[in-house]
Formats: sequence, C-alpha cells, structure tokens
Amino acid sequence: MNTKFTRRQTLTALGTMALAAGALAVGARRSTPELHTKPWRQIAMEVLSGPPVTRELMLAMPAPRQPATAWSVPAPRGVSWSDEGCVYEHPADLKKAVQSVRDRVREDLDSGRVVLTGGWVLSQTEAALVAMCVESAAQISEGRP
Amino acid sequence: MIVDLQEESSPASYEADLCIIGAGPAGMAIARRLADANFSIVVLESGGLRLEPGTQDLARGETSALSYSLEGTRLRVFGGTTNHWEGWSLPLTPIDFRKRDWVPQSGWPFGFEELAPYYPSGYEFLSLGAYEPDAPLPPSPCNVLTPAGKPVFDVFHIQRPESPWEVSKPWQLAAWKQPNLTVVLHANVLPLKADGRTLRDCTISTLSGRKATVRAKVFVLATGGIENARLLLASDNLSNSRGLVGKYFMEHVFSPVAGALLPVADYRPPFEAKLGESLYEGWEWRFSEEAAQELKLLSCGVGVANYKAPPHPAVPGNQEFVPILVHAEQAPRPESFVALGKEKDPLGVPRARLNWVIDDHTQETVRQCVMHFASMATRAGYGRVFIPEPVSEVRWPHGLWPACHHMGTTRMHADPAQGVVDPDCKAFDMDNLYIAGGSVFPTVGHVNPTLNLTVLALRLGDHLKGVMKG
Repeated sequence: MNTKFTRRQTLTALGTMALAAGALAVGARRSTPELHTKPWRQIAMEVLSGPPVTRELMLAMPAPRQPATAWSVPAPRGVSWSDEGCVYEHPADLKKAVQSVRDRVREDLDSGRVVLTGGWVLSQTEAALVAMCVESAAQISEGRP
Repeated sequence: MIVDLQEESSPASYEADLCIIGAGPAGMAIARRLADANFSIVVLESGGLRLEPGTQDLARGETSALSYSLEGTRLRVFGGTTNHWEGWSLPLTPIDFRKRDWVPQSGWPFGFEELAPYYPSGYEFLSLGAYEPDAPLPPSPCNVLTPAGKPVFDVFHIQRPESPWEVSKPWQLAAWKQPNLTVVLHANVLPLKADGRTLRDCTISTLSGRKATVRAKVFVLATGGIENARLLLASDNLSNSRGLVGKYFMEHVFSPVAGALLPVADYRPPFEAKLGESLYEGWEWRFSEEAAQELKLLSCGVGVANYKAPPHPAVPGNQEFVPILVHAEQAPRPESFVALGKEKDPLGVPRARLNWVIDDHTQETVRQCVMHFASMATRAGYGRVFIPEPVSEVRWPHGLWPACHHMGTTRMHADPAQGVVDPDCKAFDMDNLYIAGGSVFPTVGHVNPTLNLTVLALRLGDHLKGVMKG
C-alpha cells in the first residue's frame, strides 16, 4: 500500500488540524469568558439626567428617606446584575443593559412613579439605582468586597 | 359723585335705595352694574383715594395659628386690595363648582354655567382685555399619566391687566360721573344694629369721630373676606344664628420655592423654548379634572419662574435654580376661621383675629403637584427637581406664603344650616342684607379670586335690580 501522501493531501490534513486546534482554542476561551463589571455608580452617572454636577449631587445625597424599591430591572441576555454593578462580556450587551434601565426610568416617569429621596424627585428605578450606589459606597467604606 | 366724610361740609346723613359697604372690586362692580338703574346707590369706603397710615392701621389684627399679616395683605383705600393686586386672572373651572366626594364641604349651589355669562363684563371691568374662553391652547407637554392613563396636567393661560394696581382708576372716574351713585370716603362703618331681620341704617365715622347716618332699603356688605366676618361678628353676631360667620377661612397656598428646578441645559433660551416659549406670558399647568378626581386631590396649578434664582442654602450644590411655583386650593375647614380679637381699634371695634390652619389634604395636594411636575420636567428633559424641606418635611408650611386672598368666611349654601348666605348671596338671617366678595366662596379653586368674585358681584348686581323693582 502506498503510504506516501501526496503534497495536496498533506496540506489538507495540516489545514484540518489547524482548524481543529483553532476551534479548540475558541472553545476553551468560551468556557472561561473574560467578564467585566460596570460599577453601579458609573451606570447611575449615565442613566440619571442632568449635568454632571447635578448627578453627583443626587448620588451624594444622604441615605434615602424612603425605602427604595428592590432592583427589579430584568437583565438583558449577556449581562447580569451583581452587588458591584453590571457584569458583562461584550460592550454591546452593556449598552443594552443601560438602555433597559433608561427605558424603565422613562416608564416610571410617564406613570408618575416617583419618590422623594433626599429631597430629589427620582423615578422609582432611579431611586433604586441610587440606593445601589449608596449601598456599594457603604460596603466599600466598611472594607467589604 | 364722591364726597368725603372728613369734610365738614359733607352731609351728616345719607338716604339711598341701596347701600354698598366697601369700594373694592366687588362693591364697585355692583355699583357699576347698576349704573343705569333708576334707584340711588351709596358706597361707603373706609379709606380715601390714597392709602393713609391711620386708616390702614384698622386692618391690623391678631393671629392665633399660622403666621399671617392682616394689615400687609389688605388695603383700606378706594379700590381696596386691588391697589396692590398682581392682576392674575382666570375663571374658575367647572369642577370647582361641583360637589367632590373627596373634598368635604365642597360644592357650590350652582354650576359654572351660572357665572359664565358674566365673565365678559368681568374682564372689561378689570381691564383684562377680551374674554376668549375658546382661544386655542398650546398642546400640553404633559406625558405624565395617572394610573388610569389620564394626563395629570392640563395647560392653561392666566391673564393680567397691564397695570393691575391702577385698575380702580376708571372706577373712580366713573363714580364721579354716575348720576345715581354717591361714594363716601373715610366712612368707617360702625357695628350694625338690625331691627329684627331688617337692617334699616348704619352709622359711619371718620377716625377723628365725625359721624353720619346712612339709611337704605337694601345693604350689601363687600369689605373682603376678613372684614365681612369681623363686621358681622362685631355687630352682635349679626346673621350668625348657625355660628358659621368667620368659619372656613381659606387662602390660596402659594409657594415661590415649592421646588427648585435645576436645569439640564441653560435656562434660556432652550429651556423656555421647550416649555412652549410662553411661561413668562402666563402659561402654566394644573391638575386635569380626571386626575383630580382619580387622585382625590384639590385643585392646584404649577409653573416655573421666568428667572434663575441665586443659590439658596435649601438647594444643594450652591447652584442657581429655577423656582417652581404652586398655587393650591385650600380645603374648607371650620378650624380655619376669623374671630374677634381682644384688642380694639381706635373706633372701639374689636380687631380681627385670624386662626389660619392648613389641613393635610391641602399639603398632600401641593406635594403631589410638585412631584408630578417633577416627573414631567425630568421626562421632558427640562431639569431635575429638588424639593426643599417646607414641602417635604414636617416643618410645613414654613416657606409657604399666603397669596393675600381672603375667602370663605360667609360661605354660600342652599341649606341655611350650612351657609351664611343663600345662592343669591342674601344673608339667611336677614331680609335686606347681601354679602359680596370672596367671603361667600364655598370652595376656592386654585385660581386668583378677584375676577371670580367680580363676576359673582355682577351677578348679584343683576339680582338686586330685580329685588329693587319688586
């Protein structure tokens, strides 16, 4: 039996092996994706309307005087909410997540779902968002992760 | 004709078919309405043609609840308190007349349609220009909806004359020319003495003690919401068989800083453009009828100032801000009242004592009005709203101002057990005494009262024409 490969066969085999290796490499990367976290405070700075100084003031308010609603904005596909903020892999998913918060804020405002928080009139979602920031800041100041 | 009781040559007695006590907008509207009547009218004015400290001091009084300046919010001079009138004018709305289940003691004995025919004359009398109830309004930018999906706010336009504080000047000119009218200046009416159900005469006096007697077939009391009650109470509780005189005092709850709007962009011109370019000209918002009914709130208007206020300690960030202005109806409550004070004025008449009380319903109305406005402002990108403590905290109502509107103290009702005057403004307990002005308002809406008390007075003028004929 002729065991010699032709030049063409050899190249094809090598190409197949390379593709397989590449696929394995991609698979390996997918199994351990590189995740990022967008901190609540940065999300708030993007979502709250007003000039930066006003947004900073809203975030610097004393502890909420009314209990904020639980954070209930559904996480779009590709992201999750954590104590630290929005966990995502791809920037496009983060954008979707921020937009979903914005949409929820707008729905709140259209329906008059607002609360007085530290003197500011915030939508319920904004108030919850600010509360998450306040909570994060408290955790940081207490040395917790 | 205008005469001055201070002048020694002026008569010591007057006789007329109709005697009107008070030359403010209500009294003078009636007098002008009856210009072509074939009966004589005498109008008694405590002050002169210009403000005088001695007479103005008669307005001083006591307070026993919320702080209130009785002498600073009223003027005793020909034209009355219109002499410091801001001039803002707007008709009451149909819902203001209705019985609202969520507002105890609400409901006028008639509807808006009863006063509607008098608004054109009222506008003319107050130099407001043409009355155009059907003029198009700009589309409301209100995207804020009630839980039932109704717009929270309607947009409205409020008018004012060019020189509101001079609005009584034409009345003065007309008084000189009106053949059947005599206006007596410096004529302070002393406590009235009735003969059973009939008032036959009254005694007037200058501050220096010169007196005269005025006899008339019919009397109209038109001295304002504080003074109408005070004179009746000081007159041995005249027309007060049910103890209602002085009760249900109402003001408009007004706040120049109910909220602070921190603009998203520069206030002008982008801000004004967004709000319809015309806030400065009197465009504002108020609870829609549907919203007031669904949310069970009183009537309340809201707008923003046409200027940026300098930084204020109550507003965070040391930033300039745009004041949010509210103008709310006060709920009628018997614990808010006018009574007689302990001190007497130089004429020996007890001064007024005001016990001004604002209830929780009124407070909640103001709070919700600002909150909904904040939703609208945020949603539309005007700015962010911060509410200083007076509205948000228990310190209410510090920081809120009275609007210098005195109403409700001789309320109108179809049932004698629940009112001081009947739907024709006649005192229930008397046969020939009528009461004009904001004191007869059972409820007050959120709009400024001068126009509305004027049209009510014009209506009374027409009624008196029939009475005098009879």
